[in-house]
Amino acid sequence: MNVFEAAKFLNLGLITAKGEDLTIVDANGVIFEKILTGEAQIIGNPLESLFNNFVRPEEDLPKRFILKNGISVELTISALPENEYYLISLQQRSDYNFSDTEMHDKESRLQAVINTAVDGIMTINKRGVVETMNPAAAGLFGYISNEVIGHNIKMLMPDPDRTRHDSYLTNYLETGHKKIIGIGREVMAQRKDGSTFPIHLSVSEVILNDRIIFTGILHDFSAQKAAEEQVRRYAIELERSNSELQDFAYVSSHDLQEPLRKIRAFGDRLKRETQQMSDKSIDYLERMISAAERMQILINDLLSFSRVSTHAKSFKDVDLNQIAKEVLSDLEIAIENSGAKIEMSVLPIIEAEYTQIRQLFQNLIGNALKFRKPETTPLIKIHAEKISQDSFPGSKITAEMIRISFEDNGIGFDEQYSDKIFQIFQRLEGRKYEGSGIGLAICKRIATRHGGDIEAKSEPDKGAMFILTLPIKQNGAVV
Amino acid sequence: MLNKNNKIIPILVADDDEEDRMLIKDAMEESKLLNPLHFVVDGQEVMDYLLRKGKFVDAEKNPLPGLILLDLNMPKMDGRQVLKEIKNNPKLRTIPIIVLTTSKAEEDILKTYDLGVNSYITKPVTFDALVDIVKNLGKYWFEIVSMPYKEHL
Repeated sequence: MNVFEAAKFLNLGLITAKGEDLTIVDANGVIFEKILTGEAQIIGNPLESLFNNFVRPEEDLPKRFILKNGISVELTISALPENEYYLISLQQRSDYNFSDTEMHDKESRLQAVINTAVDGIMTINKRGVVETMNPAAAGLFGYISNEVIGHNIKMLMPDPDRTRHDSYLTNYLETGHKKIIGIGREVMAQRKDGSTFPIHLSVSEVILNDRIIFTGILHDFSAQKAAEEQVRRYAIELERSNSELQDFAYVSSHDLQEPLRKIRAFGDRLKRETQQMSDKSIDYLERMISAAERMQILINDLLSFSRVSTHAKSFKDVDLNQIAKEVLSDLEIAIENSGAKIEMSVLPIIEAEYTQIRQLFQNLIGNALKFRKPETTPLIKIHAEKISQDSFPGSKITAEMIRISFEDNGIGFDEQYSDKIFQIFQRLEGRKYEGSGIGLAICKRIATRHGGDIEAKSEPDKGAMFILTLPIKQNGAVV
Repeated sequence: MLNKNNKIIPILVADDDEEDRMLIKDAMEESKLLNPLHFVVDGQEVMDYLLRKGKFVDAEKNPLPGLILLDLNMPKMDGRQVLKEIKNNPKLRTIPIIVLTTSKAEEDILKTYDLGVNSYITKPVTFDALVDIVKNLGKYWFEIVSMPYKEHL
C-alpha cells in the first residue's frame, strides 16, 4: 500500500496538482469516497473548481474552506520538489467528538444561555430561512417563535431590506463580500403589527460540518435612538433660539435707535419754544427727553452686550499687564480724583480676544472705583495665579487656567445677590450710581465666551472681590 | 470754472427718512446755510437726479449739486452702491460726497472711505449737535476749501 492511499486511515484527503492554476493530477480514495461524494470527474480540473470561494492560501499554511457540497475542510498546499507539482491535503473538520452525555449537557447549558439572553438571538440558513429564535427575539417582534421559524427572515424587515434581503444573501454567498457579517450595524426591524423600530444587529457566519448558518444578535435600539434624537433636536432648537436671540438683540437695538433719536431731536426742537409753555409743560417735556435718553443708553448697552458674541474676533496672545496698564491710564482721572491706590501682581499672557478682555478689566476696575466708600481711600488689589481646573463641570479634562482676583474696599453688597449682579439690567444700587446694569453682564458673557467664568464675593460695607478664571490657551474653541 | 465762497452751490440730500430730511433742512436754516437744497429719498433717485432721468429731466429745476449728503441705508439702491456708481462715473466723481448715517459700524466707515467718500459723519442724537455739524460743514466746504463745482457739468 502506498502512502497516498494509506492516508485514508487518517481520513486525510490528498491531491496532487500541477501548475499555477493547480490543475488536479491525482487524488486519493478519501477524496472520492468521503470528501467529494458524488463528484466523479475532478482530474484535469483546477483545484478552485471544488469550492465556491477559493483564495489560494500561502504554502504550508492550513486554511479553512467550504467545498461546493457544503463540507468544511482544512486545506494545506505544499510545493513538491518536482517542478510545479503540489501536494494538497484536505482534512475534513469533524472536530472533536463529544460523548452523548457530554453533548447533551453542553447543549442544554447553551440552550439555557440562549433562552435567557436579554438580546434577541436567531439563526438562519443560507437561503434566509429562520431555524431558531430565542424568546427575547420573539418578544422584540411580537411573535411567538413558531410563527417565525421555518419562514424567511425578511418577514421581520421593513422595505427596502425586505425585498432586497434575498439578494443580500446571494451576493454574499457569491462574492464573499461582507456588508454586515462580523461588523454589525443599525438596521430597521418590523414587528408583527407592522410597526418598525431600530435594532443593532450583529451577524456572524457559522460553518457547521456540512453547511453554513448565520447567527444574528439583535439589540433593541429604540430607547437610545429616541434619546439621541431628543438630544439632537434640543441642540438644534437651542442653537436656533440662541442665534435668533442674538439677531433680535442686534437688529432691534439698531432699529429701536431710530425712533428714539427722533424723540430726542424733536424734543430738543420743542425745548427752544419753551417761552410759550407753562412750567408744568416744560417739566413734562424734560422728563420725556430724559426718559428717551435713558432708553437710548439701555439700547446701546443691549447692543454692546449682543456684540460680545456677534462681533467676535479671533483669539490671540494678549499681555494682561499691557491691558491693565491701558485701562488704568483710561481711568486716570477717576483714579486721581478719588486718590485710589492700585496694587497689582505680575499678570500672565493668555490667549484671548484683546478688546473683550480690555473691556472686562475696564468694567471691573471701573466698578471698584465707582462703588467706593465715601470717606475711604479706595484700594484696589489685582492678583493673578495659575490653577488647574476641570474644563467643564464633571469633565476629566483639566485645563491650565488663570485666576485673577479684583479686590476692593468699597461699599460691597449682600452675597445673596451674587448671581443677580451678573444678569443684564440688574442693579443693586439705585439711581445714586450711574449705569444701566450691563457692565457685569458683559463681563460674565466675555468670561464664558473665553471658556472661563466670573464670580463675586462680598459683604455689605466690607468691599467686594470679583474672581475671574480664564483658560491660558483656547484650543480653538469659540463659544 | 472753480467756485470759492459761492453760496449758491446746490446741495443734494439723499435720505429715505422724512423726519431726518426735515431735521437737516431745519439745521441748515438754523445755521444760516442758504444753499439751495434738493431732496431725494432713495439711491435710485440719487442716480436719476444726477443723470437727469425720469422726473428729474428738467435741468433748470434740478441743477447738478456741488455737494451730496448721502444716507447709507436706503431702499432700492443703498448709499454704498450709489457711492460706487458715482465714483465710477467720470462726469460725477468730482462731486464731494459726505455720508450722513446712523451707522457707527467700523466696516461701514472703512468701506465707504475705500469707495472714495470725502467725509463720514454719524447722525448726532441731539438737534443742537446736528446744527453744529451743518455749520461746520458749511464753513469747511463753502468757505475754507476750493470746490471743483462747475455749473454746466
